[in-house]
Amino acid sequence: MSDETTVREVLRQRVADFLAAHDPATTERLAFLRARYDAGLAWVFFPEGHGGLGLARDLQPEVDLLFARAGAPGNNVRGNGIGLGMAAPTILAFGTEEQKKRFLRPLWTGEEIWCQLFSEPGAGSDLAGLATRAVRDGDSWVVDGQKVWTSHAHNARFAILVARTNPDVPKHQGLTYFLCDMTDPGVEVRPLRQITGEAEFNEVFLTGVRIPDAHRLGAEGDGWRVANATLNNERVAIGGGSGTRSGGMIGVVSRTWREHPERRTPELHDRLVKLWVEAEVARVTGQRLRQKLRLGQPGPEGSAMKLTFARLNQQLSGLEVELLGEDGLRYSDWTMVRPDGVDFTGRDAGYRYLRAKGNSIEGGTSEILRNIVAERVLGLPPEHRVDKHVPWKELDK
Amino acid sequence: MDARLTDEQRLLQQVAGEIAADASAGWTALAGAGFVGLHVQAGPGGAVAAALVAERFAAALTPMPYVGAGVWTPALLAAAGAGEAQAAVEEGRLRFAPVLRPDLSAPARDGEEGVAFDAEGADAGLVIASDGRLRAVALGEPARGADLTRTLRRVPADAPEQRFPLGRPLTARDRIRTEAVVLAVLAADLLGTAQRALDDAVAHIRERRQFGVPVGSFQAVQHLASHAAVLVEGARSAMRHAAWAATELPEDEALLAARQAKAACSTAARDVAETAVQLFGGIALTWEHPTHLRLRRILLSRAVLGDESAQYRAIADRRLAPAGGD
Repeated sequence: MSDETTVREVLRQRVADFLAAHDPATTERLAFLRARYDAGLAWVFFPEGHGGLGLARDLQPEVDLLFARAGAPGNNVRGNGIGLGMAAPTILAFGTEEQKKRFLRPLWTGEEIWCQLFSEPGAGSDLAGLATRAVRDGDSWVVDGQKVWTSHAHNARFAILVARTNPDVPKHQGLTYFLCDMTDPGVEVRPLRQITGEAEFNEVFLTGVRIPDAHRLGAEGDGWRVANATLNNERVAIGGGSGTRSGGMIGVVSRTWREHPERRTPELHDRLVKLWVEAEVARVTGQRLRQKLRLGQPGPEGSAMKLTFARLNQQLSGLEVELLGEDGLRYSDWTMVRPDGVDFTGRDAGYRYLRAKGNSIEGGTSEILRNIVAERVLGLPPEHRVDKHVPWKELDK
Repeated sequence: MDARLTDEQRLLQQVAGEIAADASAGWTALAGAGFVGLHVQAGPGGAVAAALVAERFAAALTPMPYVGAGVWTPALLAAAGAGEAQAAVEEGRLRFAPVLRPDLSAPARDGEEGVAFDAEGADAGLVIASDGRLRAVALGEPARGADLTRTLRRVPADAPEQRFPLGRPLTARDRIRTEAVVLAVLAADLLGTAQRALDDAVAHIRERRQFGVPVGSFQAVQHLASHAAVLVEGARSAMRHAAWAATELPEDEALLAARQAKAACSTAARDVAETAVQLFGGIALTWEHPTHLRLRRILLSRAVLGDESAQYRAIADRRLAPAGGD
């Protein structure tokens, strides 16, 4: 028996023992989730003491499945994607012991929802050029600025925030990473209505927001490095794939295909089967990437996955609209709503088509991701830049 | 499936790379390393091992007939239980080439004209008769093809049979399983060729200077390389999955994974090798540069057992049929 098989069996037993001691049917939801965290069965690839057991990341799906089968309560994965997929691994990598103790457990249980205050109206692809200022005032920082494209901001208790703490140095060096309390009176959240009619995102205005220095993540001036850990995780979270052959957009579109034999054309057939193969390629690539990740810190390789994900989602959702002809243009509901989570494949073909347009822009435009693959995966020399060695305050804005 | 390589597999890659780089190494060296019929001997995961070797050989544009004489025909002999011939083949004393239809899309029909693939140094061609029995046939004239690294030979309809004891008739399942292994290994051949084309092109654009800087620092050039890198990684995932599936999943699932990998690697390899031409610029248009050898090799591997269009048709029959899919 290989070591890996032994680990799997020990882990299965641990889950079984936990479920025997905490019957999901009779244990209160939050008590159950907290106990699961304390038993190290929340995210097994996190270290012991922080909800995990220090095991390989690819053991997690089986643990989740065993809990789901036993009817265990969920921890609001859909409503807390930023927290689970991005804030948590960053806090784990750069946080102090106090910060990990304070933030990780309520984050995992879903008691505290997180959002991400990175992008600004003037800083999208050029994220390092952001202008939100944080000025030191005794034991805290005072933050002023405007952020945009903030999912979950209307539900969030905390945010991961990057702000400029030193305008006198080149742009990458003057940034600091903070954990921002969204209940501070200086935080104002306004819905940002998208082409789908929904307001999944928000604009966030920060006016004199006070953040204690204890909520700084990483060193002053090290914010770019910390933010990159978050962004690498984001690309795996978005582009990592559904894990099943019938999941994601390919699953939705091939179901539509099977249900509408009267709509088929040879040209659409050829395109769909090619996309089927490409979706399978993306799925097994995601599987391979997850196996290579050990303790939750992906590198730039995730950019390749996210590139493929965006292209596939757009081509598939476009094909579905064509397949459905005039029905593809029907759209069920334009009512402005503020959903609790991101939904790429839900509702109808029109929604999916419009929502997928964001896939090549959010979480790094496809062009920026190609730069990352070129420079950080292939090791090509970076393009000549006029702004890299100039103090931020002297740049044209 | 676990797509991470074991230490043993890494060592195998290394040895394959060394043999491929040694111009004096012949078929005996390859057989001596245990590479002929490797997937049969190696048991579970054997097709992955064979695929890793094929990938390295293709990367080096090795002229040795590994796919045809090292994997394909040993697989047929093993399935038929032709112990004596199999042993001679594994020791490198005997070499067979698979006989395909003239368009290379499938194994030849018995009694019809065919083409032996990867026939360099082969003693005979292997044909599967209509009753499933293996037959050894004499090889005819060389057939000129685009690929300059491998040999094709004509097999006339009336090619004389050569008497070898070649075991029992193959069942339909034997044939599907063999096809899955061969498709996965052909996918590996395509991937290896493409990977080296990309590696060489990336090394070139790091060094080649125009306008006072390496051309690889321009985004327009970087994005071509990134596109190719994404294709190569995807193709690698599909190939590894198929090679694993070839011995570990039921026949129909193994064949589906193999068809997907063959389609993905065919389209990716061609796109990557053509992109490499663009990245190299003029030098890739010269006879002396290996780029054309790669393009030519890719065109042949792509056609053997069906190009991507043929694979798409077979996949669609299974996955897009009204009742298909899970």
